[in-house]
Amino acid sequence: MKKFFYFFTAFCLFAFAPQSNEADKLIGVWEPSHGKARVKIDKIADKFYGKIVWLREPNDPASGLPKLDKNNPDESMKKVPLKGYRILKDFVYSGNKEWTEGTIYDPENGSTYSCVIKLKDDNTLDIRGYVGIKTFGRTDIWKRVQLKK
Amino acid sequence: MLKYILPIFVLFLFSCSSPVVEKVSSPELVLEMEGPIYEGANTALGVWKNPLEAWLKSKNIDKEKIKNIKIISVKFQPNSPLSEKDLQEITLQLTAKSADMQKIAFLNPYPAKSGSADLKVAEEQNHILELFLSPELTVVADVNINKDFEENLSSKIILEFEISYQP
Repeated sequence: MKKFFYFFTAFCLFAFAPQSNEADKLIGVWEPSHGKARVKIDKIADKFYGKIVWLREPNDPASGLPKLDKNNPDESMKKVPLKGYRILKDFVYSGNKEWTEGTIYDPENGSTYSCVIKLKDDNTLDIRGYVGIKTFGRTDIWKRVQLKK
Repeated sequence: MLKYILPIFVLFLFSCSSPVVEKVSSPELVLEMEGPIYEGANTALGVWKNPLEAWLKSKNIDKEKIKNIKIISVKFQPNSPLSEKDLQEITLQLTAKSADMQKIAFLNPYPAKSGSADLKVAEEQNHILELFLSPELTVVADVNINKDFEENLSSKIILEFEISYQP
């Protein structure tokens, strides 16, 4: 019985550890192709979230004050600062270097899209935002800011 | 005939009775940030296990009786060495393994003169009930801090919410 227990524990460790390591490859700071922002992806309650940690132009040119989420459809949330804003939410690792079930928010138009993230290599992400079905969407390429060698 | 109709009518009225709304406060929830902490966007996390368990027991009702939950106030209190002067703004979200993250409140700018502060609560609130019925509710506070800290930091929050339920 003891033998079986050790075998079972060892099996679980080997079976699930690589899956977790693969999933965590998404963690880090990434830059979208437009280069206007940097997004830090972290893991909270076993899901992945990304927040803006750097903006090329942190201040609104009109007011000179830090940029706000002025396009948010919820009137009460229009004064939330963009720095620190979580634009990627609720991603779950589904295997094969893909994270699904999440959403991406575009602060430039206040819209939220379904989203799939694919790790092309350790330093490149394909981020596909779509409405309804994946076919009708747009893919952006994000690069890791601190490159992994 | 009337003796049959009347009880059915009373039963119908009873079953259609509007839900009761009750104000409930969370315990003091501790949010933690692991040091070293650098100036800029940081995140403090806290966990509230089985948020509604005690309330459901006190009312002796099933969770299916709850119709809705709405956050009505959020009080935030930084603990020393973090002070109100170090905070620029704060955004508060709730999440759980089985429910999507929801933004519930923010404060921008954080008032420089008050230790604790009431955050501005979101008017549009979705799936809050789903979050509160999760076995583990995670509170995520995104804070912009204006200086570096070597040590871990903590803060406290109290959520006040309304529960609508069918008695």
